[in-house]
Amino acid sequence: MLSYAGRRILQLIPLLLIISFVVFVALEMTPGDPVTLLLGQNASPEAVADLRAKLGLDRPLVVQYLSFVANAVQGDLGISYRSGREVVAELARTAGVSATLATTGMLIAVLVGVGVGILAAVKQYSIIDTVTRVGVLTLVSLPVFWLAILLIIGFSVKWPIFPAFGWGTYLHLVLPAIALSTYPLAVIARLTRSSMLEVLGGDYIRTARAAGLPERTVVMKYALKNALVPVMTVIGLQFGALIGGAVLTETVFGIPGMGRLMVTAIEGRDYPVVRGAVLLGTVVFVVINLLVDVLYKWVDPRQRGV
Amino acid sequence: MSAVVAAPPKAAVERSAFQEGWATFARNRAAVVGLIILVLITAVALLAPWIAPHDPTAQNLALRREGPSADAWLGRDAFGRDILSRIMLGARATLLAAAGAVLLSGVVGTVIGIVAAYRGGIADSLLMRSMDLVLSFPYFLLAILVVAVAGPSLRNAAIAVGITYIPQYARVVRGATLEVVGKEYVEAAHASGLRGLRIAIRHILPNISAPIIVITTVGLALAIVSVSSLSFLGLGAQPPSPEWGAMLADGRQYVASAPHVSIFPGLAILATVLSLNLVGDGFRDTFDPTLR
Repeated sequence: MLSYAGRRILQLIPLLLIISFVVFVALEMTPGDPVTLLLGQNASPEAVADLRAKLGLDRPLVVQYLSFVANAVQGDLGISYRSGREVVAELARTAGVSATLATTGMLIAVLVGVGVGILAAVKQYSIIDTVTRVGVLTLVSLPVFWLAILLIIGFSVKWPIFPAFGWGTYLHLVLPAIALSTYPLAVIARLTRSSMLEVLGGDYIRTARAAGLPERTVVMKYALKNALVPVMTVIGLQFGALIGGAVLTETVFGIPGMGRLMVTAIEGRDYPVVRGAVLLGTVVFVVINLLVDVLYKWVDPRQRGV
Repeated sequence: MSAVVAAPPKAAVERSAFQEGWATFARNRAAVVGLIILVLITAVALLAPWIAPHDPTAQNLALRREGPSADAWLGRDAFGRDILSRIMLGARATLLAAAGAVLLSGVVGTVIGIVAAYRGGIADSLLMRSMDLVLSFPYFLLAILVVAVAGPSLRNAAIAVGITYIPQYARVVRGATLEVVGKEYVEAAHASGLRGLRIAIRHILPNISAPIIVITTVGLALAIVSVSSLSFLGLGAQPPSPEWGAMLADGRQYVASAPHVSIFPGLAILATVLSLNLVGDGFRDTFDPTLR
């Protein structure tokens, strides 16, 4: 078990190196000279050359990448072209906001999604099941940013319960978290339902029922435990959708998170910030999925020998 | 020899398989409804320039943000342009970009999948590891990265979305190809001296079309959401071109005074994506015998 976890963590290092290389090279290929961006069009050639050397932009690409990695490991991701502040500071300022939003969204998605999925499976072919299936299809088809706008129209404009814009109080968190939760919620509900249906057809469930255990115990204790194993993997993968969704949600609600930071950075060609945000987002996604994989092995003994 | 004996008259099998498949599909009423809506939306997109009630770019500042009326059924936007006409024209932009994205990922992903499965060995592991690499990015973040590099435009947004969906095709196609490669008819084709490309096109591709059709439908749904999301962020279609995501971005500032400006383009996205998902579910039931 531990050796598996250790092996997976070691595999992470080359993956992160490749990811960072891809991101680094990609943004090096972008048109536009950062030095001109920083100094403006009318800068003297001497000043330009000076700054190029200072930023290390006159070195070969590979050397730049290596020093980027060396610095990144020490927590230095460069300097924002726009604000002049450290990229790490910019990320630190915004990452907490995004993390709060994403975890709240995921929490809603897991709690409601698993609950609805169980209910739909236990009451298969009932009205609850039908509503769930229609609801799931609608929710996965709903663009996050549109839902966010609808929520504002409904609960900030028509019934002014929640603020439409900004960040700071719990009330600010409600609508964005709901908007963000819908897609993973639908996916989790759908998977919980099908996984639950499969498990409920198993021999040991029949045995438990035949032994006279109350249905509640059979479902919540015996079935759910096994049905949730595949759901776990999907939760990890859904963090990917959540990170993308957060960019959109933050934009609609004007939340000062990492997604908003990244979009403004792209508009302003602030590539070090873009690079830092994409890297951090991807690293978080990769690490979460590694944790899920390790947890998966731990929860499901059948997987351990593999 | 067994391959020759086993091969039944081709036309008869194909027709009955198609009819059987259609019968299965038609039993799923939601899928049929989805298909009808999809055909309608596609027809509107194709005919938009001729059937749009107004010029989608004609501004009328006197009527800006006017609500739905007899003249403009879905109201007017911030520049007084007819929203219905813009949605109709926008269908072209959004659908074309999504189709382009899926075409890109479909072609590249299918080639990668077939080559990986057919060649095996180092080619297989190299190709599939690189697909894993693409998948290790959160897909929308990757799309944003590509657009950041290539510059914001609808075409680049389509390319970005296309790139993120390549691994899905590669994985599904590889799996399906592996199942087919061992079959007698592929071995027979091989034995009769056909070359790799010909075998891939004549013998493998037709037999793995079912899963390809399913992921294409779902992929189109995803691509429409992703492309319009990028446009919404200002990274896709640029104003004043009508595109659903971009229209939503325009309407966003008027949610209080003129909610219709953002409601209707979103409804168009929802209707299209929902119908694609319904059709996708129908295809899945049709092609996956284990679900029957």
